[in-house]
Amino acid sequence: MIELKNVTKEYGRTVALNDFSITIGQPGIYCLLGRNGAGKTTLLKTIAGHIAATSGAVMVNGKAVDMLAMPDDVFFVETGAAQFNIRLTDLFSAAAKINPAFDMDFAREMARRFDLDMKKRFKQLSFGMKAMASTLIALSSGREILILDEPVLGFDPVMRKVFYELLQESCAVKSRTVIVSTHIIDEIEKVAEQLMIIDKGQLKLYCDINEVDEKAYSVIGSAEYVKAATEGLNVIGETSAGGFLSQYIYDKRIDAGEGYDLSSLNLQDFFIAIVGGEKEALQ
Amino acid sequence: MRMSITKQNRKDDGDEKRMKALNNDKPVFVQIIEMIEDDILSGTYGMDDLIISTPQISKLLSVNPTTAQHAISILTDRGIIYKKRGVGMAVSENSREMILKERKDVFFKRAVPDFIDGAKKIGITGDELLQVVKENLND
Repeated sequence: MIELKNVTKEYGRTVALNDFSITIGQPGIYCLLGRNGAGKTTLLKTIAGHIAATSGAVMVNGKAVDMLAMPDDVFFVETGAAQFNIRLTDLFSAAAKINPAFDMDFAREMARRFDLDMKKRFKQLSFGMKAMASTLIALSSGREILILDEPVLGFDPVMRKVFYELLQESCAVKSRTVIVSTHIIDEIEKVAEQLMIIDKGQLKLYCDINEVDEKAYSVIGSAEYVKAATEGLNVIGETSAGGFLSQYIYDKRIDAGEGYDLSSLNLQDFFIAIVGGEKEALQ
Repeated sequence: MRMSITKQNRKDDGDEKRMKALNNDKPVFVQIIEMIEDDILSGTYGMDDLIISTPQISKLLSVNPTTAQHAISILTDRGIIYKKRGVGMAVSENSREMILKERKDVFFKRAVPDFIDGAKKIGITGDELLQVVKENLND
C-alpha cells in the first residue's frame, strides 16, 4: 500500500506537488496521466524515495519513505534509465544475483519475444531497446510495486502492443501494483484498471477506469437544447461552433432526446476536457 | 437477426471487429451486455451454455479487460448468467424471459412514446398512425 499525506515538493519557487494526498491500496495497473510539468515524475520519484518531499508524509507498506530509506518493495524505472554497459545476459545475471526474487525464466522469455539481442552491450542498443531492457528487469524483479515512468516512450507500435500484453501477463502471474505514466492515452485505456489524473501538482481525478466508460460523454446539438438537457449535470468542458454546442459531461448518463445527440468520450478527450479545458472541472 | 458477434468470430482479431461491433452512443460495458443478451435472445446461446470469457471479449472487441469484467458481473448480478465452477459463466434458466421482460419494458416506456410523439410532430393523426401500423404488420 502506498500512502501520501499532504505531500508538497518545491523546487525553488516551483511547486511540483501541492498538498498532494493519495492512497493506493488494491493491486493492479494504475495509469498516471498529466500534462508535461504536471508533477508526474516528481510524484513517482517521491514514492520511490529518489527525491525527498519538502513536507508531508510518504509511506509504502506502512514504512516511511525518504531518500535514506528507499522502499525495498518498490522498483522504479525512470525515462532513459542508465544501466551498466555490459552484455544483457550479464546484466540480467547481475540483477538476479543482487535480487534473489528475480525471475530469470520470465526475463529470458520476454527478451525472446521482444527480439532483444542478449549478446549486445547496453549502450549498443537503440533508445527503445534500452527502455525495453530496463522495463524487463523491473517486470522480472518480483517486487510488489513497480513504477514505470513513460515506459513506452521510444517504442514502436509493435513493441508497445507486446509491452501491454507483457504488463498484463506479469500482473496475472503475481498480484502487484504497477503505476505507469504515459501520454499514449488511447492505448493505456485498454489496459489500466485505475486512473489518476494529476494537474498542476494536484490530484485532479482518481477513479476506476470503468467510471469513465460509464460517466464520460458529450452532448451535441443546438445550444438551447443542449443546455436544457445538461442542466444540473457536471459539465467539464465545452466547445461551440455557430449555433451548435458540444458539452462534455462527467456524470450519470441521460437519454437521447430532441435537438441533441449523445456520444461517449474516450479517455483522451476526457483527459483534455479535464486538464486542458477552460471550465474548471470536477469537485 | 444480425450475426452473433460474441460467438461466431471468436478467432478473429480485435480492431477491425471493434469498429463494426461497438458504437459511440453508449458506454462500452452496456454494449457488451447487449451483445450477450442479443445472443441469448437469438438462441445462439442456450440454457447452461458457456458464454464468451472475459479475456476473449477483451481481445475480440479490443476493450479493457476490467470493462469486460464489469459487464459480466452486471449480467451475473441480474441472474442472467451464473458461474459454473471451474469452467466459466453459463446462461441461466430463465435468462430469455428476464431479458425479454426488460426489453419490452423499455419498448413500451420509451420507444412507443417516442414513436407517437414523432408522428404527432409531423401532423400524422391517430387514425393514420393505426392504419400505418396495421399495414406494416401485415407485410
